[in-house]
Amino acid sequence: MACQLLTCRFFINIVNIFRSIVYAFQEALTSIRVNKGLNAITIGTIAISMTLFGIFFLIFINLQKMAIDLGGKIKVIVYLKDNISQSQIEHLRRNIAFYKEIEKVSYVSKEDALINFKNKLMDKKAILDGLDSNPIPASFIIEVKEGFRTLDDMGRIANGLAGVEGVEEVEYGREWIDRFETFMVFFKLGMGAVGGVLAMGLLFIISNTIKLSVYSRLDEIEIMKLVGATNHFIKGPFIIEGMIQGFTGTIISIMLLFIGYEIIVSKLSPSVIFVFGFSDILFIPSNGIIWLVVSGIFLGFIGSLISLGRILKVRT
Amino acid sequence: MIQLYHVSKNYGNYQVLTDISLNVEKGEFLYITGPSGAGKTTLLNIIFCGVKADQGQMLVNGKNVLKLKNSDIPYYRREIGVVFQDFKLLPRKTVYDNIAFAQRVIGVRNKKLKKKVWMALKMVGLSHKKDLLPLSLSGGEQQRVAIARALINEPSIILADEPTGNLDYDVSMEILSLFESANSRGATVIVATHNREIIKNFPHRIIRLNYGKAVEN
Repeated sequence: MACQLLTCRFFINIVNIFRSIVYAFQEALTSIRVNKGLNAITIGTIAISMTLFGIFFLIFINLQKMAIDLGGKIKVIVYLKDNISQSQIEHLRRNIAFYKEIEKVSYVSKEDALINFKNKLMDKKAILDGLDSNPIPASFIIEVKEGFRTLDDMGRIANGLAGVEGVEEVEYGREWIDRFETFMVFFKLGMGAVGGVLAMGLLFIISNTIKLSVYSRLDEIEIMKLVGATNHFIKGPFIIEGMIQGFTGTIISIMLLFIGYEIIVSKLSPSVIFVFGFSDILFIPSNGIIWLVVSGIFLGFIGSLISLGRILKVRT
Repeated sequence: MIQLYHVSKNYGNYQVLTDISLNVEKGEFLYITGPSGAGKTTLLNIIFCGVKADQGQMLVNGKNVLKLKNSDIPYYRREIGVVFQDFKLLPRKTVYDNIAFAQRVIGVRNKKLKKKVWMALKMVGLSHKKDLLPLSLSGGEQQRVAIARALINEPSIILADEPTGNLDYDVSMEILSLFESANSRGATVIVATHNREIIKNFPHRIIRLNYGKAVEN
């Protein structure tokens, strides 16, 4: 009997919560419809703020792509002994393929290596003409998958291969990787700090804009309190309104960013590519867009909550 | 029903109420009179929990109101209907929605709500104007909407602050008769007013406030 009563109460509570949410949605939509001007200002401010954030985000992902492109140049080079047999080479190739961290392996024969070297020397290649034999060793050039271009992983692969029969030496640009890792740590920290400061600024601007909307309806809040509305009941429609504003503003900002991106890519791309060495300028990926929209909704939510907090602390 | 013991209230250096002690019985009709600035509104606000008294104690229905937690105040207010001189209606909601609002706040279901709003509209004689916005009504009609909103939750206490302040004689009498009928149904009514005409036509106990001090007439 007691259990039935509890279940019944639980369902009544669920129904009441659902009804409150529906009511808050209806009120929020009515308010947006009625306060068109103020809503346009709030949505516009959010759109501009989120566009600024989006520009930062675009810069971040393109710089990150540049860093990843640079990371792609990190390779493990396995130099082979001169007297290595064809079967030993095949054995070694199988050994290398065993590593799951490896993206691509290419074999460079002694002859190809010499040609490559000569090409690099360009007009000074004549200095190699006096050689009796080819001093450049054959090698395997190994490209490592993105997540494994760390000092530890590269070192482990290099050490693993160094002991294999037929291998003369293994090189993996230890100092370069070390510098690259340090750069990436500072890059991420720096971008995180800038992003954090920007997000705080956005929150400040958005919460103040929403505050304007809340202040314009102080009378309404007062009347709600007069008839015994709880703070949750009062907050609900404002918070949902803030979330809708955040969502709409962010969608507008993404559209603005996309238009801006298309203009830049079509008109300035060749010069930008030349200066920065980008192979392509990226737009925000789909998961980034979802992240931006969720952030916009969240900013609207937090902005409303901050604006309402102080007002609802007052007794009347 | 309502008991105040040595209640005082300051706004900065300005003493608004000084050592007010008052006992209002259940079902009583009480006037609070006095000149402007005498503290009538502050006294009603203290009973309503709109402002907190600096000193003293107050019991309403046996509850020590001054010790209520902020989160309990909305529930306490649902036992009280309030009416103001400036009506305090939601300008963007229709007459119907203004009255229904008080029911929605306490979570009354739509079916029951419609019935109650309809009864409240009939009681104040505004059924035919239910779809209009408050600003398209006369002052008297707006006040009747405010009274309907105050009464719809069947509160045990009704507080009215200068409810006839902006209204002419005939309309003031109509408004007072609405409070009279609520009182006859058992509600305790406290009306703050300096309108001698309504006091004369609907005589009840009077507390006079003078420079924040209470004098029983």
